[in-house]
Amino acid sequence: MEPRLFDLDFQLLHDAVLMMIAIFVLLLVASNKLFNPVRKMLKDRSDRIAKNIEDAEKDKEDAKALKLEYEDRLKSIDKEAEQILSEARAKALKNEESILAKAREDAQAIIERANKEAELEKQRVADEVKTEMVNLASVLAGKVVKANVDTSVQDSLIDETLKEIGESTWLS
Amino acid sequence: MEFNENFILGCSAIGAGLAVIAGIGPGIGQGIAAGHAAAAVGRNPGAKGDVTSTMLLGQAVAETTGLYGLFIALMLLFVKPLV
Amino acid sequence: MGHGILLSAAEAEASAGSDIDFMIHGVFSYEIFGQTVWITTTHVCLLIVMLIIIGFCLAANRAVKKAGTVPTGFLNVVELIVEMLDGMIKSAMGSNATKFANYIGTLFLFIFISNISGLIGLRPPTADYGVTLALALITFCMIHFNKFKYQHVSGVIKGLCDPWVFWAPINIIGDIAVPVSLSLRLFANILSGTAIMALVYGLLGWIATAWPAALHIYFDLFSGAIQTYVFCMLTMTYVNDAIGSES
Repeated sequence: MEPRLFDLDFQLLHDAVLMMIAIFVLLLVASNKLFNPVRKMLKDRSDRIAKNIEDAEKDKEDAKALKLEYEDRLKSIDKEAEQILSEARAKALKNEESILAKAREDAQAIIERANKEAELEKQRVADEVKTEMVNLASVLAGKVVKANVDTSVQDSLIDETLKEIGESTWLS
Repeated sequence: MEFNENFILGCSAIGAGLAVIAGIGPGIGQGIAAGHAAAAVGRNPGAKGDVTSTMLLGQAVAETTGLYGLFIALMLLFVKPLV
Repeated sequence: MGHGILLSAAEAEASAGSDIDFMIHGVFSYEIFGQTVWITTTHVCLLIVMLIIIGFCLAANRAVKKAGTVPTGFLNVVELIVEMLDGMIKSAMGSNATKFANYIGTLFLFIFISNISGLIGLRPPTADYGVTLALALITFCMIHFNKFKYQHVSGVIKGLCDPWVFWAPINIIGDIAVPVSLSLRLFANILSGTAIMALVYGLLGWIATAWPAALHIYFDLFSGAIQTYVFCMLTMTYVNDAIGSES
């Protein structure tokens, strides 16, 4: 063929038809192998990233809510603890008072009892002493009788002695 | 009247030379386009990219007439349609 | 140097001394519909460009299939390319983008790789009018298919007789000029780049070492990228016009 550059002939038509076939083949290959898969991949990736971001956002929100809740609970726990403590303190105070009162009462009772007992003891001792004196007096009287003193003198003597003892010694 | 081949070739060469005078028009046009683009960039430096691409597109289209002249010249010189 | 340096260059095959060559040569011929047609060097380069693109697509597909959650290396490049193309199409076509994204993307890849294939020593397939004409015809068909689909016959006729009935021929010429100018623009751009590069290499011989890299950057990379962008942009704008004026 003559070297050619530009001619309006059948060869041009033939070239154009071949070129159309070529561009059609290229279109098929490029669409199926390049454009569609890459677009799909890009779309998948952007979807995934969007989903990830959304998830992260949601997680953050959840965490925030959780944190708020915990803080709330912590605050309420603090308050509760405070309340429990103050209640306990109040109760302890009351207990203390009651215990103190009771102790005082007890002490009073013990003192009273002790006093009573002491009184009783005193009385008992006095009685004992009295009876002892009586006995003593009797013994003395016996002895006196033996030493022939009449009964009337004896009785008056005993009474006198008792009275004396009772009034002077035991009331002092 | 019969002309021999060399005469036609010579006339074709002259014709080719005349044809590339068509390059004047696109030269002026592209210069104007570039000047206005430069003014536009001066007024609005932020739009430099847009202005440049629009300018290049317009220049490439305006260049076509000059290229037609060049094309005719190449045809006359190399395809020799008149011989 | 019998009849001028350029003209002798044109007869590269005849005159062995010169190696300026940006013509299309035949590789082998066959008969179809009673005509002899040639498989040319354009088709060989076209095949190589196609193989590059298909190889890239297959590699990208493999990278996508075995991609982990975190993108790395080659996959980043693939994503960058696809996202850039999608962004460009989206900004030009708006809501119609999804239907045409694959075709425009393929078109962009093909024209771009074709235009810069001069860098690897090929003759760019887009410097053959057969290739650009085919692309422009596809655009033309897309425009008019969508016009009929979205504006119906009445809308198309109304559009043809826009200001007045007798403007119809001019409007028809304007419609036909669209694919012609689209294809010629791309073809002439790449062809002029190729021709200038061939002239530089052919005429300057050993002087043309290393420094034509700058010319390659301009003619192959810059001009190629711009023309790719322009072709895709114009295709999208025309198609969008055909669809958009419906409502």
